[in-house]
Amino acid sequence: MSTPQEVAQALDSVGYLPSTEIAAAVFLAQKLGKPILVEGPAGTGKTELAKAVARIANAELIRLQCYEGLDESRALYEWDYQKQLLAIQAAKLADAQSEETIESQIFSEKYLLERPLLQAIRNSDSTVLLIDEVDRLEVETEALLLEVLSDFQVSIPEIGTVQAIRQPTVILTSNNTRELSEALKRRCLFLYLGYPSKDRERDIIARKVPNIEEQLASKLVEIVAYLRSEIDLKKAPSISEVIDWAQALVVLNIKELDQAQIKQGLPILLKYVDDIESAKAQLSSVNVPG
Amino acid sequence: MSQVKYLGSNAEMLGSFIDELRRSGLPISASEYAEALTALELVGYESAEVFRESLKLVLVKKISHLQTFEKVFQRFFAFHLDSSEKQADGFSDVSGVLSASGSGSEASEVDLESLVQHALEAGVDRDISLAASTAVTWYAGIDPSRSVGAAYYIQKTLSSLSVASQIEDLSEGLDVFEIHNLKNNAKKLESKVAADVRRRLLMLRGVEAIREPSTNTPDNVAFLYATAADLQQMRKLLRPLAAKLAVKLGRRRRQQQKRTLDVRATIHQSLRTGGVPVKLRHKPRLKHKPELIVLADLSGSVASFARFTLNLLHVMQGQFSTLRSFAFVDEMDEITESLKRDDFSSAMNQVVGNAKLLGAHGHSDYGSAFKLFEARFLESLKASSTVLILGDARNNYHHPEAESLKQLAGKVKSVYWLNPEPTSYWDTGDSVMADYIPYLTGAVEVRTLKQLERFIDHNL
Repeated sequence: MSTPQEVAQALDSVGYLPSTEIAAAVFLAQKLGKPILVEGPAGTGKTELAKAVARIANAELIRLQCYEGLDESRALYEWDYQKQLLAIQAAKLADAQSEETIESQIFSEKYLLERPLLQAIRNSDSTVLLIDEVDRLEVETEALLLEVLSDFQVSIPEIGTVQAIRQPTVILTSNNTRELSEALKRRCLFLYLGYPSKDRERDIIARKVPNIEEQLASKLVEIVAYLRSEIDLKKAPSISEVIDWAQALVVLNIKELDQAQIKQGLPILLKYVDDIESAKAQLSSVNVPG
Repeated sequence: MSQVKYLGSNAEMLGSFIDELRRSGLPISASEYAEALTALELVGYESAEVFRESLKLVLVKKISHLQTFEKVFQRFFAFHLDSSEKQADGFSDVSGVLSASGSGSEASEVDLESLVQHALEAGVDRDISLAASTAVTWYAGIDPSRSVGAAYYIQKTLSSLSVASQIEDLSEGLDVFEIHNLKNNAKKLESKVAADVRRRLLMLRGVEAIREPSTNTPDNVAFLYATAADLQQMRKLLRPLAAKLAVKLGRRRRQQQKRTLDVRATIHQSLRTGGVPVKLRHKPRLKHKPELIVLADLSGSVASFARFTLNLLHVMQGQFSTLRSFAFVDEMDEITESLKRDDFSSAMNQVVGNAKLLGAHGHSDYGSAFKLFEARFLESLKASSTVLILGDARNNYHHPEAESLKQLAGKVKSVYWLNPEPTSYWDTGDSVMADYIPYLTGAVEVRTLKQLERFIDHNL
């Protein structure tokens, strides 16, 4: 793919409708060989983007879900102790080999358990590495990622440095619960993914719910835009929740929305009781169709 | 799609654009500059949008800098990037800029009205741009010999255009969502008008004409002088900060805690490795909910800061289930319950309506506030709590009652004081910071969100 437009078309063809920004990010990430750091509120299609990128390249998607307390043995690699012990005991029984040979044997690749980062690096097919919710890592653990992100290699003391056979496309996501370290950010292209523009959201709905009427889709998008910006919500409706609502309306064969129907739809869009209550209260006090 | 046109070399153009960004507070390294150039070579200059997004991807590393980037970009490339196709075929002669842009010249005032109406209703970018540039042609009356700034012409155009009353007319019979949509389109129109005015000024008078006092990023505005609009901006940045604070306080406690070995599970696990306990198993650590007590000065002398403080507390309430908030002027009251309202303005009304903050004289009196706190609430504090005090320590020459603060500090884990005044102002006039500092775990100047963030990152 030699232009951002072609990337956009490719993403579109696998069912992900990109904005210019997203297409440019994917394009540049490939050309510059840099990871993309996608930041933004939950439910704006960050993880979905990684999946779509994997689909267009026909690549394997390897996912590292971050959480507090994630360590090397979960992210990079681990030695298979059980197998190593068995090998030692077997060698003792046979009593044939010297200690050095045993040692060199048990610290070989045969006894290495690959974790997502190493797996992504050693994969000989094309790979998309998704590092999900990086902001949940502690600052210290973030450093684990740096070697992989900039040099695409992993150092294992007993074996040496493992270089990437084929450089994976790396996508990191963050919900911005904390500021990531400068070192990490410097290595990445920074893509902010907010809620989509009205036109884009309408197109997404039309794509995912093909038999929805255009007018209804526009109305949905208007309502959701209002909810996102005018009501102070704990969690604003995500794109997938809007799609769910659209689907529900099509199934129920509702063509026009009135006050009561909008209120019925709120539990699909909003996931906190408080949010639903405050949205209901506010909608009752304003002029709503029907 | 419109194209990017620039007369100088690309490297030069990019260099001065980056200078402008740096002036506005974005840290951009030399390697990012180089990378931006490479990126532009890769994406080409055919599409203005791709051009902008590519630069943004490479040069911006922080959400709070996005808006500054957009502003500077608008200003800097206003002339080089024409967003409507009409203008793409060139603005080569200056007289054309003064009188007209494309078909806008022939549009009469009546047409303009319908243009604007259409733009507001349909919300299509192209229509909005056309309406904006036509309006500027009609109303701005740009006079290149006068050295007034862009703001003057923008204001002039917008007031003649009276978008607000147009919206009012159009809103009749519409529901709230459609009105919301109209208002959003109106915002777009206003920013297009601003961009158009700047583009013309740039054309006529050169870059100096549109250089504005360096744009402040919202994380750099002093709380004490923040306007309502600034606060609105800040509020968006507050949620992640509050989350960070929660994480930080929660995490620190967890790290300090010693992990206890789960002997049973360890032995069980060791069976898999022939009785050798290769891996230790630990008992799950208790998740500590961070406990935070905030004492906030809500007096008039720090009005802007107080409003910010309430915003912060309100956002924090969502993050900490164990946050207790207290407010004071010269009386002290707990406002935790009031802040639990989801909607900020109703929470604010609750605080104003229900909390008893004013005592005998109604000026802030830290001494009496601490004394009251000691008498009423000291017993309820836990040894693991963290206390934050927010205020300027301007005591109106009352007794500082540092002894009460000492009692408080002895009862809890740590006490931090966040002061919205620069350190150099502390202990001048009626400020009594020095009396309190001996009992504090830390006292920091927190004038801006940036400083607040630094405090959370490094002091906690």
